[in-house]
Amino acid sequence: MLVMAECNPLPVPQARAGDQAAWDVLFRRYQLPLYVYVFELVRDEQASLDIVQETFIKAVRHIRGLREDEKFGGWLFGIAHQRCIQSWRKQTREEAALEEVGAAPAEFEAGPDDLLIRREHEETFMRLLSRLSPPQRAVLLLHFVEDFSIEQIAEITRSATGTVKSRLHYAKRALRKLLGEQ
Amino acid sequence: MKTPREILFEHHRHATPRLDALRREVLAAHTVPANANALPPTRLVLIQQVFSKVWLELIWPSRRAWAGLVALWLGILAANLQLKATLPSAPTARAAPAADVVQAFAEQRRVLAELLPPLKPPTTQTPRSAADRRSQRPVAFKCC
Repeated sequence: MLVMAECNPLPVPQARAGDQAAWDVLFRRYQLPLYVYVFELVRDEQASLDIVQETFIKAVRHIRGLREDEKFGGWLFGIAHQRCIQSWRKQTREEAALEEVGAAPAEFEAGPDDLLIRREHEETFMRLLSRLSPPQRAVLLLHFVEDFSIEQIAEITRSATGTVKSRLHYAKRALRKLLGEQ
Repeated sequence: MKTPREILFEHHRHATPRLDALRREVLAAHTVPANANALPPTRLVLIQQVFSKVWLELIWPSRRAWAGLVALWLGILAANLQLKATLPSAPTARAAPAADVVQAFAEQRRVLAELLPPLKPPTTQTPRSAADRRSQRPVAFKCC
């Protein structure tokens, strides 16, 4: 299981200085979370691998543009997210219309682990996840995979925090509802 | 019971070997090994680093201010060019009096030439005779 809290700080300054070993550490840390996120958005294995590769290359090229080292993870997911959006635009445009938009909920469920799924419902969960609209799925995945805060998710997806709260709330509610129907 | 994160990671763990290969490929093609970094940086790299530092430290943080300054300078340049475009009549206005002066001067010289008789050639002095010389004159001594 992936441990979210970093015991050691990520070697971002070393990577910025061009240290290959530091890049190796960073890529190892993020390769699977990035792949999971990208795959669940684009639903194509080869396209997902290509996007992860492009994200890594862009990260190496543009690391000097990252001003706060502790935001490396969010920055990396932001690069991948923009590439996913390009992929969505190619695939379909009408899915965005399915997005359920509502007012931001007054209260917000804090952790990503508040939703526990039984073993027999695991496959159902994966299937139901793919039925959510891409914007809702993106927000939910960022919440589940890396436990990003609302503000971080808003930065990655370039959305308002209210929009992120709303999407997360409705995505979780939809997921619970769908799981309850199974 | 599992968390969504655990389910997601387990579901995609089979992709790890391909991700490892991909990672190695990116590292080999786009990063430099540590021992290569030990080489002294070339002048070009140093210049790039300086530009990058200046860009990141001075320009990028206050890009709105720089953009404003650039816009201001462009405005000044445009105004300057426009002023220059409207000025060509000025030099001709200045040249006209000069032509008049030249013409008047030529006229004066012509009138002066008409009024004044032609200059006589300078008279040649005849060489003095020996009698004219003071030393050759007879000296009359006065008696005290």
